Amino acid sequence: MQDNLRTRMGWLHAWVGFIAGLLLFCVFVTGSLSVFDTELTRWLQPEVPPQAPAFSPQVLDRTLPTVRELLQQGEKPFITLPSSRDPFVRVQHHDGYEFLTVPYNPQTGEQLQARDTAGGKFFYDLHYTLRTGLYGETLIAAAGLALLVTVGSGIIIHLRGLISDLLLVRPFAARLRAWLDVHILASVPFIPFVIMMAYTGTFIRTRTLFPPVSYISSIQNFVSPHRATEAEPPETKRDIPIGPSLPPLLDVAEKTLGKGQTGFILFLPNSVLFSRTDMSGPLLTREHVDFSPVDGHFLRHVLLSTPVTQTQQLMEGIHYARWTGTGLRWLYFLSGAMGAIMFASGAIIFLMKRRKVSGKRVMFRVAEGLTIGCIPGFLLATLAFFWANRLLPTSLPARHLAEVHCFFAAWCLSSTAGMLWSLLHRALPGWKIQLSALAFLGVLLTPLDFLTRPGASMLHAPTVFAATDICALLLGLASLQMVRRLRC
Amino acid sequence: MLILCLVFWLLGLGLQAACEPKMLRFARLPDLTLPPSVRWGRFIFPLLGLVIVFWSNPVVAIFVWAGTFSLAAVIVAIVWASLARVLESRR
Amino acid sequence: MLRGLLALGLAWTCAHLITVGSPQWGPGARHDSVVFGQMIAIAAFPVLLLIAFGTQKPLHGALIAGTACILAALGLLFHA
Repeated sequence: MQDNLRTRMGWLHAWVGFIAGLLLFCVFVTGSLSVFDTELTRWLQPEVPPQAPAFSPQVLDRTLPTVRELLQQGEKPFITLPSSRDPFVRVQHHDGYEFLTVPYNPQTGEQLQARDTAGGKFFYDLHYTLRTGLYGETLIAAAGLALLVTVGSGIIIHLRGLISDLLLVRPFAARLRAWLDVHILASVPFIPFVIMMAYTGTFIRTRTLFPPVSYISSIQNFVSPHRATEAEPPETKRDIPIGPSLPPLLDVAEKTLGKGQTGFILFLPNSVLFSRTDMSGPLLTREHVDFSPVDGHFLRHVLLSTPVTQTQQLMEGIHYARWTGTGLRWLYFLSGAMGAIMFASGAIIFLMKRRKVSGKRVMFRVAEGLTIGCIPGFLLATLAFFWANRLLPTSLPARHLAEVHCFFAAWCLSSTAGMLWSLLHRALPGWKIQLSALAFLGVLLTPLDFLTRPGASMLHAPTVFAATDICALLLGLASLQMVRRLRC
Repeated sequence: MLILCLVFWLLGLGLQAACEPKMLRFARLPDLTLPPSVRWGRFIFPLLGLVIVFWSNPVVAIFVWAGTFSLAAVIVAIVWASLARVLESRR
Repeated sequence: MLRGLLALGLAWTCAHLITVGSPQWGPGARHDSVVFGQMIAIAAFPVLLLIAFGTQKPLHGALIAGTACILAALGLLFHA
């Protein structure tokens, strides 16, 4: 083969893209879902009605017993105030993986009896840690760098046809041509989005890859605190002060932050932080006004505003997209979904191009098995999570963990099945079975929602429920169509 | 604002498709020699979209403009592919 | 393959040297200079990798990326 810039970039694009792409497919799917994490939590807690009465600040004090209980358990609870995305007051805490939430009526302060769920934040955690903490963060940050390299090489390969092929998609052409067109359509128009998300996302987790100290010191830093905690005696139950009333403090905080600009109230052992809402603008400032947890006197106002910090805040704000309105949020979601299609089609093209020559090799079978596990398998597990949320008994202890276990069990099962089918040279039935199962779970999610949601009605206004059901339905129908075409 | 910007991108990209020989060959359409004033629409419509989003909300303007471009490209490509299929089945 | 590994090694070294040297760029604003260094490192990594891998002659790519590494290493000596 002729050795020129395009062939070299083609090699880099294919191999780096395939290896990182399988992981990045999962990252883009979970990232797209995380754009609607708050809304998904509402779908996952169907007992909480779609509409809520207006917020009265007096109800904040009624959440304090729950807050105090969590503080006694050594947690760092926080209260999220109602917003356009979620009209309920919620007490939340991080259990090491997800933010678990307890909803309250924003007018009466009455606690709503909602099921224990990992919520939409499950996808958020999966998006940047894969539920494996620092190791997952490092792996995903490395995949982010690989994505930047893949996009760069892809642009170089495709530079000549960047404009002429921009709108060209031939779904009824030869299979490889059709998949290439899909790959180009899912990538070229979304290049600005992909570069923006890859750069900002990798930047947010840079410390895991490029710490500002040498690698030896950073490994020592990583290892030594663990040793210290192992030696520590078990923490005794702390005495938590009764604490000040929150509504007057909210008034004071809003004099600095602005009316309606308080997003959440974080309770730390030595202070109560009234933090600016992430929805206030593209800069994720996390500006906060702090008060004493004992008598509520003003402690400090924290706002970092140097040019570099503001750039950092802007990059975080752009990546998290919490400031956007509904329309822009949907654009983020669609762009993320197209990113996932880009990785899926790229992986399929990679396999198609090598099937003739290397189709019988074990490594090829393994690669195809991994692809089945990562693409339809991951989507299957995602839908299994939604099904588990509605089918598991609400009284189940540690129910949120049971949902997560269902997700991983489904993923593990589908990956193992995909790998076995592939190793047995039966990859096509493997694809078909997984896609059929995906279609089944996707299409039937709407009936499941109607059957298991209290007060469900066909004639309700567009809500998070309708949007989630329609997305699952579309995914199911797309899978069905793919199964149909695979039979040809 | 978002919808309007999307419409402008659809018009701009639709014209781009109609001016692109490769796209015309794919749909088996004859060479449409559009007058220069119409061809300029490829650049004017997107710019109009940008002006409108800036005028409406400068903070989100670039994001909406870039996002609607991506969405419009997908829509135009799918519509064009469907058109080509319909024209092919009629022959 | 070997060329790819060399390109990866050089690009990674350069990005690492940028972030290691960055705290010294602004002694009064360590946080800001570290963040700035990270911004540069993340942008430099893919560019250097593509250059190191993409040039016609492997030596040219290695030389360019190596020079970037030396420049980044000089940043370790730089005190604002």
